[in-house]
Amino acid sequence: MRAIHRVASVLAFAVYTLLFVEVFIRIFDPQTIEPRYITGAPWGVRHNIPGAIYVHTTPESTAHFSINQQGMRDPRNFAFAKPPGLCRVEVYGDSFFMGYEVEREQGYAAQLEQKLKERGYTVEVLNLSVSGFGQAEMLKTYEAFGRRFGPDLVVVSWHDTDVDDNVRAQLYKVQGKNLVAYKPTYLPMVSTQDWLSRHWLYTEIADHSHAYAFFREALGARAKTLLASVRKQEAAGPEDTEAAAEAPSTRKPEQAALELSEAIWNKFQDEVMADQAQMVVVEIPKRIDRSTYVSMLAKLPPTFWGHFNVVSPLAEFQRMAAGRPEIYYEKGGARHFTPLGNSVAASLTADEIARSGQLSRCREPRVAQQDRHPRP
Amino acid sequence: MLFNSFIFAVYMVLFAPVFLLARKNVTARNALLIVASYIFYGWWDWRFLVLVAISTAVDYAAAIGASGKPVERADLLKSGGFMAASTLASIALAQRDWWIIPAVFVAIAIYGVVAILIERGAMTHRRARWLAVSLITNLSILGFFKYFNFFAHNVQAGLGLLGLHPDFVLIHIILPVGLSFYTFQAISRTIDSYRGVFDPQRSIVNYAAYHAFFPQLVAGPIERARHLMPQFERPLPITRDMVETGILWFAWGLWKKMAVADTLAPIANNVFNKPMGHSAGEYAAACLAFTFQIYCDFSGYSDMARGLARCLGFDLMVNFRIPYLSTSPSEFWRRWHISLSSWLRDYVYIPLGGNRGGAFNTYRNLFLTMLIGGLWHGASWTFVAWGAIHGAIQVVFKLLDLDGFLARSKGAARALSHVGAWALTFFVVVLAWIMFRASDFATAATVARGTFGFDGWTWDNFLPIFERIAPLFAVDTLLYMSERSKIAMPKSFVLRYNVALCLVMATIVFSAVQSQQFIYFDF
Repeated sequence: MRAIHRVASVLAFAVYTLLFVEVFIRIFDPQTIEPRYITGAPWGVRHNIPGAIYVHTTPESTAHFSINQQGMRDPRNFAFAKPPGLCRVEVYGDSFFMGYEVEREQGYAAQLEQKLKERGYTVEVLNLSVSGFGQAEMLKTYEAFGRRFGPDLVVVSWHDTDVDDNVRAQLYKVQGKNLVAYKPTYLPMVSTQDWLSRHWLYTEIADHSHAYAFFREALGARAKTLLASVRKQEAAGPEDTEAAAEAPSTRKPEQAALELSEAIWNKFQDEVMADQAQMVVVEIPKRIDRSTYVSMLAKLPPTFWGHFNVVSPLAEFQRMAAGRPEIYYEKGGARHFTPLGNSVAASLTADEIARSGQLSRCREPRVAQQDRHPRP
Repeated sequence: MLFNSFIFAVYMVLFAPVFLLARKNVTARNALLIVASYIFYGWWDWRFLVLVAISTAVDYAAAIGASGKPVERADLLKSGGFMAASTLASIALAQRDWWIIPAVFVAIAIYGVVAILIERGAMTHRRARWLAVSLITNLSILGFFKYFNFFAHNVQAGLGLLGLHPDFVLIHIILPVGLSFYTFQAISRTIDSYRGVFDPQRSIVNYAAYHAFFPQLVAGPIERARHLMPQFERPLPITRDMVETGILWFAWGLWKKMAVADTLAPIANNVFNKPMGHSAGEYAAACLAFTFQIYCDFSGYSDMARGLARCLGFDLMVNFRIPYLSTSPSEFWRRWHISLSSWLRDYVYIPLGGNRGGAFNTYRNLFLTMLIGGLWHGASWTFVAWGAIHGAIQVVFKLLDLDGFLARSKGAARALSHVGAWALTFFVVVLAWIMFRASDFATAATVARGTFGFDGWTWDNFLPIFERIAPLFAVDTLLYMSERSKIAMPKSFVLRYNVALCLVMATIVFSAVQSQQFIYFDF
């Protein structure tokens, strides 16, 4: 009886402590509640859980997520066979293109489809973005899954976190000057999350608890930074070891990480072109403050982007900054694009597609003609 | 190893159960404390354990000799053996600078010869000679590692003014963490033994554990042997009340360091690292931010040290008593870094003559003591100037007899004069901190001049500081009042548990993204 009393007391204290922590964080540091419904795809990288329905809440917005049976944030399911006369655009990105903090219709992919249709294209946009993706995971998804939909155009984001994401994944490595496949899978914490997600208590906590969100973000960020640092060192080769003394590495970890990203970009473009499709790179500028943005393109050498079709909303963001509109969420959220930010990026992408003549076979001739002879 | 690091948490998880097992046997407990303290210190740089060991071994024998007791062969063997064993272990762990081993063995041989010569000498000189051995050893270590380059640089500059340009070699010297603290603590024990106010015992294990006691080894408080040493010579009870209050003190110190000091640091750094081109409000905010940064950094460390020691059954002295509520500079020094100011009083001010010998000598002694106190903080003229400012304002306050005026005032005038005296003291202390924080006189002048303006006095500049110091003052004042009124702190476990939870959560939620090293580690 005494033992039961003790166990009950300890349990009561544990529950009380958890409630205390929850209330404390809700009062003093309310969190962004962004549960991640991620699982492992058969091709070895993360994938949105098919059929998942969930909500993200931040101090500035509420976003409802409904994932289709193919792991895309879309109410439609797409047949692999492309309907005749229709062009397909596939969007690959991380949480920005996944549409975090905005409703689906306000997200980049939905707005791109809308703007292309407004410009006379018969098109559907498939959003294959997954939060946390770098180009390594995007490429894996494209190779194993995305290309089966027969895309005509592939839009890929380039974001501040991608260099580290690519290194962390270890799906590829640079050997000599070539990109080679390295590890077959990159599924960080996925099996744990799969197991936890089977329990209603976990999903309730993940969907509603500010304390859980706080500690997950804090620990996750530290773990990611540590992992990136270790793997950058691995990518650079041995340093300060006996092996290094025999064959000293000339590459710094940061340089090795950039070289890996370059090689992945090149391979991605080669794969897309091998499928008779085209690629557009959309950079997501880094927001310093409401009037200052930094280009992410500068991370790689200026000559590197020469053979890519690149869209940068940087200049437009800077131009708009004078009016101080909200392009990114700012107050406590995860600082993703607002509907306006998505709209600007989607408009510029649609303009670039129209300018470059990509997807022209799916465009009404009348509208295309208008574009070639714009009204003054 | 830092108190606010993950590795320290792991270290304590491993250390605590072993300590609990060993705590009832004094020798086993102290031996464990030596090993634990040396790991704690050596984690930063194993090589500098050699200095801790030299200081320990020399002061072990020197205090015995200075007290008038004979230093026996067994004492010398213990002393030399401790130095040799510690050196071998330290360098083996460091895996570099092997030359230190023969160098220390030569030093041990010289030390042995000196010890034998002193012991064979006349009894009248023996005590003083042992005291000299302690002073020379500790001050040489301190002087070389902390002040060598400073003096070499200034001698070079001085000779340059005379048209001489000798080619001095400035050595790249790393300042060992906590050097000023443990050398001062060692010196005080030997002086107290010489004065006959402390009776040193012959257990080197007990003394080495005291000398290297890890909660206070690297940033104090600078303990007195007659207060702390007896605690190392008997088993200490560890009660639930001690552990609970110890955890609370530690959590409070951790909050001060991580949630206040580290969050205010960027505000101060922003101005002091780039002193040009700020508004007066920004300069003033930076000065205010540094004022509370250094208080929370240092007093936070002291609180953590006291809390940790209390959990282990030891009682360390109080080092801060809300100094920014002082109404005169002398009161400030009775409340700020109490262990250092009382050390300077006992071992510098009083030997210089104290307040004996008339007003002029009193002021001179006071000023010189503050000057030395300034230099203790670092090898730079800005620290000397900071000490000089504090010395000068104490002299001015004494000349004007402001303390006497405050004591004599009554009624409403008393309240008013106390508020005025507090404001004046706080203002002067904040201005003096400019000299302390600035890397050079030009920066200090720019910042000091910059604060006297009318632009930039916006709420935005000061709100982040007030947000932090409001709860700080509330809790500090409550603790101080309860200590002063001898009100026992509540012993309710539920209450203490909630307070600890609040502190831990406030530390986690409000701590700075970028943690800063403890400022006083450099002193």
